Parts: sequence; structure tokens; C-alpha cells
Amino acid sequence: MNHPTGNIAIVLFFLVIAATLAITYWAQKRSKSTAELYAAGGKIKPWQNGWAIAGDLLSASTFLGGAGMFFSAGFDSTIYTFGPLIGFVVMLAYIAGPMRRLGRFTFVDAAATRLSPVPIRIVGAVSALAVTLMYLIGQMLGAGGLIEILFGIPYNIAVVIIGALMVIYVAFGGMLATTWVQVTKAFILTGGMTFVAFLCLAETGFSMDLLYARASEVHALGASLFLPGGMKLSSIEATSLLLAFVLGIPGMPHILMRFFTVPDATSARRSLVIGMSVVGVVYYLVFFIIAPAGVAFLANNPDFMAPGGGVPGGSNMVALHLARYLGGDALLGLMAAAAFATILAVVAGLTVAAASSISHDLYSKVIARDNPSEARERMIFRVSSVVIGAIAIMLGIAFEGQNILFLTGLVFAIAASACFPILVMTMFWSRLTTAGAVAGGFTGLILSVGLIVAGPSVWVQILGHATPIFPLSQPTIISAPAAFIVMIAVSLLTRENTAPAVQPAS
Amino acid sequence: MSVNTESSSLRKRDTYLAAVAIASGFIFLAMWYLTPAFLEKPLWPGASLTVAFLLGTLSVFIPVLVAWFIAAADKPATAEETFETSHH
Repeated sequence: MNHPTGNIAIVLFFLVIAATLAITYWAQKRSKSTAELYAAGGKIKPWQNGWAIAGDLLSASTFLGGAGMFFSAGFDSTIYTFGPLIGFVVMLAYIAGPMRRLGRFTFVDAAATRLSPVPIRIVGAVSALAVTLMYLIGQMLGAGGLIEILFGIPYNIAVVIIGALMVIYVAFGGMLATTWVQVTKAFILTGGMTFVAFLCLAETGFSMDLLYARASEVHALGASLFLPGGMKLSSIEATSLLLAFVLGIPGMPHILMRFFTVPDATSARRSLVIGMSVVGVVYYLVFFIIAPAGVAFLANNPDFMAPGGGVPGGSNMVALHLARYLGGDALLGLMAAAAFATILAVVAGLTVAAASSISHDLYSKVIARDNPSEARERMIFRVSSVVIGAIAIMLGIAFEGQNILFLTGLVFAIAASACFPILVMTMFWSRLTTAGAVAGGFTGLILSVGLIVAGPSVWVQILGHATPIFPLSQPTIISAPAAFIVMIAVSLLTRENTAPAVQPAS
Repeated sequence: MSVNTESSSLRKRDTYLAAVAIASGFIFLAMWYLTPAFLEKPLWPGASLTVAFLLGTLSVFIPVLVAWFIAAADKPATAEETFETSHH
């Protein structure tokens, strides 16, 4: 294999695989019941779940994409830090406690307690599947390309390896294996980022001022590197993006599922605070220290610049080139392995959520009318994870080389426009009717997908039209309020056919 | 046909604190576009670190601090609220 990251990276690559498979083997023996498969039996401790939540959000794009985005767009990219963190606060204040009390395995459980369960489960599960599958495909595409660069493994084989491993984790180890893979990855990533940030600051005598001065000196943007405008977002697009994070994070099905892995609502809230603290620290290290250091030490450095400008392998490789600059092949290998562990953990978390939507929300609650045997539901969960893995592999290979940046925007837009409105209105608005929830949910889903397709990211950049039908690259500022308005209007115009008591989501 | 009233109630303290976090983000974003000259100012004469850096740092840590404040008032779960016995 022609692997630019060296033999250390290859050794660590196999070590990561061995360690995660060992975790899965251990977890498989403890995942016999449906509750254990979906929610680790509710026995995860808050600190463990907190680190797993951090692992769910900290993808490879956080430190590779984050450093790369800063390298080209500068300080403007910090919107990707505070947006998700505010989303976590919204999740903590409004969602985490009621979600843990009302639900059992998926966020749709909580939404289905008050209203007619079948239509709510269908719209909830479709939205959850849309979010998780698109997120998964985006991760697979990024991961295949990344592993090809890091380890010299051909793209198609890399995608198959990732897909196969994630199916093994989820199908055999369920939520327990996924949780511990996430915890392990979050530890590795946070430790690695802290170490790299320490080395970055050591290069400038621990002076942030000197670090930023060097970055300004060598970057083409000069002092503007630390000013607004690098991402070329209009103020409305930036507001829409922030809104997508603020409302989208609390609607992410794979993060919401984590609240069912702890014993009670207080533990769910505590774990979320721990998780977002870890995320906040890592974001700060990446965007405020490591990324500026990437500019300071790599830009205009002939040892790390490609002949045509930029760094070899593209801007997503900035963090890894920085690791080589700071610590040679050993640190590069460590960071490459951390990236690989990160990829595996994130796709496993998404697969659990997607498989649960199929086996629990659609099969168990809708098709089997809440009356399947536990063994059959577990079998459907495992089969679903294999099917999702196969779909992710096929689409990952089919879309190789495509510009899929719009998928990330779409994921947050759907979560903010479909999942979040259903959840928050079910929990807090007593006049909400089933018809209102379904109409609003589908409005958010259809609008967010439709406006992304009609916007510049797909209509112009992928489909090749001259001008977009919808001018914004991020539609949440339209789609989320529209979902709420439709939900309220239809609810006021309709009444429930029955007056359901709170229905246990058993 | 009665209206289902089994909705949760908002905790006022959480709501106010969350509003602080949300406002901090949107205020920072508004300043980003409305007052770039202010953000450009160095933190001290001759410094490379700017007001944008300071506000950016605050924008990351204010939500984290707010979250700790919100959770600080949480009471331990009651004995009957466990995975097996809570409202499933």
C-alpha cells in the first residue's frame, strides 16, 4: 500500500480495528434484550454518555474539515463552533428531560405519547431516516476519500471496510458497543487535539498573540483572516445556518437516542452538559489554536505546499500536515488513526439510530401494531443495520468524487425543520393535534429538501443551471418557521378524534 | 372531544438561561455583519489578537457556562424514576 502517513499509521489503523472489535465482542455478550440492544439497558453512566454524545458530534470533519475551512476562509468558520453549542443548550433546556421521561428507545417514542401514534411514528421515522441516512452517506463519502489519502487504501475498498465494520459494531454490539466505541474515540480525539494544541502554542512560546501574528503575516488574506467575510455567506444565509444548528442539534435522532442509555432524566441532562463541554473544548482547540497554527506554520512553507498552491491533498489535510510539522511521522500516524477511529464511531452511531427507526418505529409500532416478539424485533434491527450498511456502501461508491457538501446543510435543515418542531410542539403545546403535527412535519421535511435542491448548492453547482430557483444555500430560516406555522394552523383547524391519555411507549 | 393537555411545562429558569445563550450567538453574528470595524480593533495596542477573537472565545464558552448553570439546579432523580419504571 502506498500510504503517505507511514507505517505507524498502518499499525495504529489495525490497532483501532482490533480494539473496536474487542469492544463489540464484549458488548455482544451483554446485549441480549431489546432494551440492551437499543439503549444499552439504560445502564450507561452520565460521564460515559457525555463522552459518547461528544463522540457523536465530533466527526472527522470537525478537526480535519474545521482546520481546512479555517485555512481557506479564516475566522468566519467559527460559526461552526458556537452554533452547535447553542443547539446543545436548547436541547438541555427543553428536550433532554422530557425526552428521557416520555420516550424509551427513539425520539419518536416521546412524540408518539400524546397523539395518534401511527401517523406520528411514520412522519417521525421518515424524518429520522432522512437525517441519519444523508448524514451517513456524507460521512461515508468523506471517510472513503480520507482513508484513501491517509492509508493508501483504494476508495471503494475503504468504503466497504468502514461499512462492514459499522454493521458488525451495531448488529452484534448494539448501543453498548456503539457507546464504548464513541467514548474511546472521544478520549483519543480530545487527547490528541490537546497535545497538538500544546505543541502549537509551544512553537510560539505559548503566545497566542504571536501565533495569530504569524498567521496574518503568511496568509493571503492577511489581517482579514481574523475578520468576517471569508466564507462569503450573506447575513441571511449566516442567520439561516446558525438557526439550522440551534434547532437542528436538538432534533438529531442519533444524539436524542443517547438519552435513553442513562437511568433517568437528571442523568440525561448531566450527560449532555458533560458532552457539550467536551465538544466546546475540542472546538476551541481546533478553531482557535490548531487551525490558526496550521496557517502560521504551513502557509508559504515550501515543505508543506503543493506546486499549484494550497497543501497537498487539499485543505482537509491541513491538520495532518500540521501534525507532521510538529511531531514528524509518529504524530502524523497518531492523528491519522484518531481520524479513522472518529469515522468508525460516527457512522456506528448513525447506523444505530437509522436501524432503530426501521425496527422500532416502523416495524414494531406500525407494521406489527405494537405486538412483535422481542426476538423478532431484535432480528429486524440487525437486518436493518445490514441493509443500511449496504445502502451506505453502494451510495458511497456511486457518489465518489461528487460534491456532497449540501448533504451536511440538508441534514441540519431537516432536523431543524421536521424533527425539532414535532418534538418541541408535542412536548409543550397542549393544542397540538395529530393532523397538525403530521402536516407541519412533512412541510418541514419537504421544504428543507426542496429548497436545498432549488438552491445554489444543488441547482447550480451540481445540476449545472445558471441561476438558482431559491437564492439561499441554507433554507432553515424559511423551512423551520413554515413547519411551525403549518403545525399551529392545522392544529387550530382540527381536533383529535379521540382524547388519548398519555400512551406508554412500551 | 377534549384537547389533550398532557404536555410538559417549561422551566422558567432554564428558559431564561437558554435565551441568554441563544441571544449571545445571534448578537455575535449580528456584530459580525454590522460592526466589522469594531471587531477589527486590537485587544491592546499593537496586538494581533482582536475584539473578534475575544468575542469568538466568549461565543464558544458562554453556551457551555450556561449549560452548567442550567444543570446546577437539577435535583437527583427520585428512586422510582429508573429506566425500568419511568414513564415508558
